[in-house]
Amino acid sequence: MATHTDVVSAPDLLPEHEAVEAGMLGPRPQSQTGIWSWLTTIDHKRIGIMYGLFALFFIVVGGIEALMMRIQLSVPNNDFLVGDAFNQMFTMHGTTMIFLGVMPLTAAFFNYVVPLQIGARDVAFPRLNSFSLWVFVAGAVLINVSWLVGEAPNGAWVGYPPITSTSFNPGHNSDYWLMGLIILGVASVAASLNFFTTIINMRAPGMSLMRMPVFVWMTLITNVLILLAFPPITIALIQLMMDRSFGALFFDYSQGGMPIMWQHWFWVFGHPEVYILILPPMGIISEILPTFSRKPLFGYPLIVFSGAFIGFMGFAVWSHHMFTTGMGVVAVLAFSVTTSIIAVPTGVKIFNWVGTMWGGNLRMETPMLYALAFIAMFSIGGFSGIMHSAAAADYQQHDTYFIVAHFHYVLVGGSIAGLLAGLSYWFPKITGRILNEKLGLAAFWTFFVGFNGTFYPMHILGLNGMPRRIYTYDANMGFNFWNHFVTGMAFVLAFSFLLFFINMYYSYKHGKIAGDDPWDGRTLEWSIPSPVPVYNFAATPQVTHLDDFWHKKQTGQAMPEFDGHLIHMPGASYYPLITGVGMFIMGMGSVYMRDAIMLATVVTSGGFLILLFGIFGWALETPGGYYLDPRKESGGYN
Amino acid sequence: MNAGRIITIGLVSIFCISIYLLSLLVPGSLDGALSYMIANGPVAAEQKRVFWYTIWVSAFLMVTVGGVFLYAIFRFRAKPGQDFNVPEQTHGSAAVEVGLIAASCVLLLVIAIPNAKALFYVSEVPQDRKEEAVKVIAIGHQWWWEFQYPDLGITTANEMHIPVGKPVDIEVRSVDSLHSFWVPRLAGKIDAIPGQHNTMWFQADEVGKYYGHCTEYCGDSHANMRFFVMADEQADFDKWVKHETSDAVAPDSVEQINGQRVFMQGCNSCHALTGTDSMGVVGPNLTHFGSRTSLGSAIFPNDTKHLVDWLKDPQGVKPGNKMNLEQVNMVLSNTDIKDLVAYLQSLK
Amino acid sequence: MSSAALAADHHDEHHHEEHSYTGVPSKKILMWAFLASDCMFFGTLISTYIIYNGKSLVGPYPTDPGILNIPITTASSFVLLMSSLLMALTVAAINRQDIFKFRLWIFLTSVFGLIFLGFQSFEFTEFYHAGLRIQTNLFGSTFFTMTGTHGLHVFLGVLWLIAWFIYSFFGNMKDKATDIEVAGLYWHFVDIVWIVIFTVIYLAEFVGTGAA
Repeated sequence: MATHTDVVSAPDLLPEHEAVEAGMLGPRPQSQTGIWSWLTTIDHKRIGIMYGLFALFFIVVGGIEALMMRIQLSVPNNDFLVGDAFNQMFTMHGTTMIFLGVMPLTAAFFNYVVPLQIGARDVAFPRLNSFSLWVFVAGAVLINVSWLVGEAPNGAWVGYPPITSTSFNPGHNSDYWLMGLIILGVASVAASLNFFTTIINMRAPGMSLMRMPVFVWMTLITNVLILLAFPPITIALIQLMMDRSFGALFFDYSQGGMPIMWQHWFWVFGHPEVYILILPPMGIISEILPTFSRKPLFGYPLIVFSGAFIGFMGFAVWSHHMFTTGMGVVAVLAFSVTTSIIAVPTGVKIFNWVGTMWGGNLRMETPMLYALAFIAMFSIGGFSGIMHSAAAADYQQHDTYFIVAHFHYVLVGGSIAGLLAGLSYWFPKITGRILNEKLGLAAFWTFFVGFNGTFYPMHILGLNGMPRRIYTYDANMGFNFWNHFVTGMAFVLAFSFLLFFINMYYSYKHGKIAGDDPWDGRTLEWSIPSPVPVYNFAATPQVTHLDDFWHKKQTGQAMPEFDGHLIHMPGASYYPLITGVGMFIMGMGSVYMRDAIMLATVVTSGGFLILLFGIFGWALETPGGYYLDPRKESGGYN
Repeated sequence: MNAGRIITIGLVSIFCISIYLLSLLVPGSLDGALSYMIANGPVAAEQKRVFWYTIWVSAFLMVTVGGVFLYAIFRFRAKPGQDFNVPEQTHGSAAVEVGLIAASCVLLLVIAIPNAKALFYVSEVPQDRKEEAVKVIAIGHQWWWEFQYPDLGITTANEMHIPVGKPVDIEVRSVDSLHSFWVPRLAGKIDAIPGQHNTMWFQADEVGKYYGHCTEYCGDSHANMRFFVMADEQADFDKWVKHETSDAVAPDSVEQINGQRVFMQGCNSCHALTGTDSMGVVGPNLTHFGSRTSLGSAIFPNDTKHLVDWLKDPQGVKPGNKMNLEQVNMVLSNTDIKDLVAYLQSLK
Repeated sequence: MSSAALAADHHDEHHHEEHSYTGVPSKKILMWAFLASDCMFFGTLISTYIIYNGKSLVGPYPTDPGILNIPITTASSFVLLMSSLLMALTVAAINRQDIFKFRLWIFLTSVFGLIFLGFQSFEFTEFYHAGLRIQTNLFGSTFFTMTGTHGLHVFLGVLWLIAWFIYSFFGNMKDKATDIEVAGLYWHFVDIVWIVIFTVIYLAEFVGTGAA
């Protein structure tokens, strides 16, 4: 399964390897450019870029869904999107943003940045990586196909039964949601196995755990969380799928099933999921702040351990999403306490970030501005988090707009601001050009104003008692002004994303050439050319310090030179794409299992056979690949 | 460039501050019918007290951490032309870290203790007041609430009457999907979960009409699942009890008699009228419909116009609700509707 | 750093192995991580079974006589455990590069796996005829979902082993010891999970009825 890049002396192996390049589908794909080169690529950088583009696309989709909801809510008793139509919109908004937007965008950074930061030529299993991407695409497309048949998921992103069981949801809305999420779970777990192994095993010599960049640390923790948190939700999804498709009784209260059990499984996953969304941006911030403060990270070990502690505690707080389900006062109190404990490691991170800035020389460029905005807005989200941890008060706040405000401060002001910081920070490494600073500043300030204007008033609406997930409200409730205001500001927020995308396109075409190290960076990715050449490092770096590249620059040491051995590059592969297609067909079949069991079984089995064909073809493929002389290469893909 | 940036920062700060101020100035922002910033009973008051503890702790943190953060931004930002100067390289300080961790733990205790006390208080009617408590069973349906008073033999819908100054012991159930029972001015919410009997309590200290809303997503018309709690003086409450336990009044005009006939040709399969053959349990009990103030689970006032609208097109005014006339092949002519309205309004 | 030096040494000793920081092959780390994830997977299924145990409203119940056939399942559990022994022999054989023994043991491992699956389908049919289906009650839903998922794991394991058996006639098995060891890890894990499932479903019921 593993294809590994290795430095070998070319004369030994070159002829032999060229002779046996054939798999079940004949020769391996050879194209270096064009659509097929992207579809069959196993290069972590190209996969990262594709993850990123898909994620940004789905963030736009989720954003449009949000704007539709805001239009409906802008005035009382509106009739733009009524009842089920609105419910589909908010279900898909949540699902899209979390599973198809933010998670793949973090995966984009894992893919592009982690191997570079640990001094590796690729991830441990490049074809598995490409498999994860295509399975993700299969799941994402499957969920969104539901729009085309007019049965988009409508059970909210938490999908609580019984509202998602067949008796209340006879269409295929929830089937699309279930199958899509199961497939996305497979993609996430496969990717996590890969990154876990990559970080454990592919580090450059000398990069001990405590010399890893914080972003790599947060990636490691996030991927452990994905590995441990996705199985419970996958089982719950399978149980609900069994209920819907085969008449099982897991959540059927009339037969003794307990709908509450779904909530437990969902949040055993759901709370770690929150940290899966926020830890990678925290890692990004921990890269940007030292670089732009020109100081080492304050309290590196504490930042690392607090991240690990947050991840660990993430499994001990799930029931704080269920304070009002009648668990009993002792259970509520216990989860209330464990929840408030999480405030401590989170606070530690914020203190250390401020400590990093303290006494530094802060360069206020766009990545830094996003990072600072992250700290400010994430802190506000954290404060309202402390408010929710007091269960007695949460009895009132639960399921009101106060909660909506809270998690948007954490996920948009936190996660997305952090990811935009990362995009601005690594854009020059990815494209070789710096984002235009003027457009960047305009986008940033529009984002900052639009974001706070959209979500701050939701606190007020929440305190004033506006329940979440309602499509209409009465004119005499005191909700009118702020809903109107929020809708207006939501368009400002949307405009800021438009500006960001325009800036990306413009700078990709006409931006200032970045050079290898535009920010005076600290970590290994800045020691190699921008855009990154296909082989990453001409010679494997030898790491002796934390922030090794910065240390070498300060002490005047050079990075190792190319040693004359040609670099073996693994060949591209059709099979990950084929397995992804197989997954999609399996999912499509399973959605209609209830209506036409024979046909659906045939389709599902067909998909399974394609999947199996892909896996065997993949296993039997020879390592293949070619040899490359970095002295003759000009650079990346431009 | 730098001046421009300072102007931008200034404008943004003014913008943010003005949002905060506006929130206090815009009328109705914090004192709407569902606002839990106003407590009209001991349970809500206790919850509000804990809320204010958390506000003060958060505000303290916001001012201190936020202050240091803003100070660091302005104090240590690079001077023009010195962007790439390397400052002193410091790696951390154990004393500072330990101090800050200890301080945050203390702050959390400030919240944890009142929270624990409040949790026990709000979870159950206090022991010494159990005797006087009024018992109500609130049953969530898609999309309305049924209220049963097991000790008084009353079943009603969407408008719960309680005596002022007395604890009300509420058991919350559901017959279909999840719901959540919430009257913010009286108490926080508790979920209605099928197969589960959850409990909560509250007490109204003042006479009044308190607004409630379902707060667990429950399908198409979740937004239209509202209700009222009417807190009456004890004497008025007793009067209401007496009235509610009586049978439905008989029709006494031609219109009403026709209306009753129409009712018995279809409506009766879902709705109950105590004292008649009509015993349906799918929809709300309509025995004393005429004396309710609201219609369609508190989404409209109970007047002729809205009642006619409702009977003409129940799906249009409340999407997805179980009263689907096309589905049961029920055709109501304009005369039928006029008669039905007359009859329903007579059911005082 | 000494660990890095050690890793470098290790790398030199096994020049056919891929480079790795820890000296452990990446495939093995991947498999261990996957098994950790799978623990949560089965943990969720088993917890669901325990939570719903005794909550069925209609029969057949697991306590009914003639439903859980403990002697038969003990036999099938024994077969599965023996397949683990055979798997260990398979791994030992490939480490010695004894291809004949390797083929013999891996073939027998798969056959034992198939025998276990045979027992399972026998049990499923028995239950079906006794009126216990996935739609019958919570016992049926949880039982079939949990043991079915386990059976699927065994089935995929058998596919994997048979694939290696066939491959050994066409392909070069020289540097495949790690791959076989990884398959072995998976196989042992699936067996261990069965022991837990066997305890939770059968032994607990046996002890329960014995006490009554």
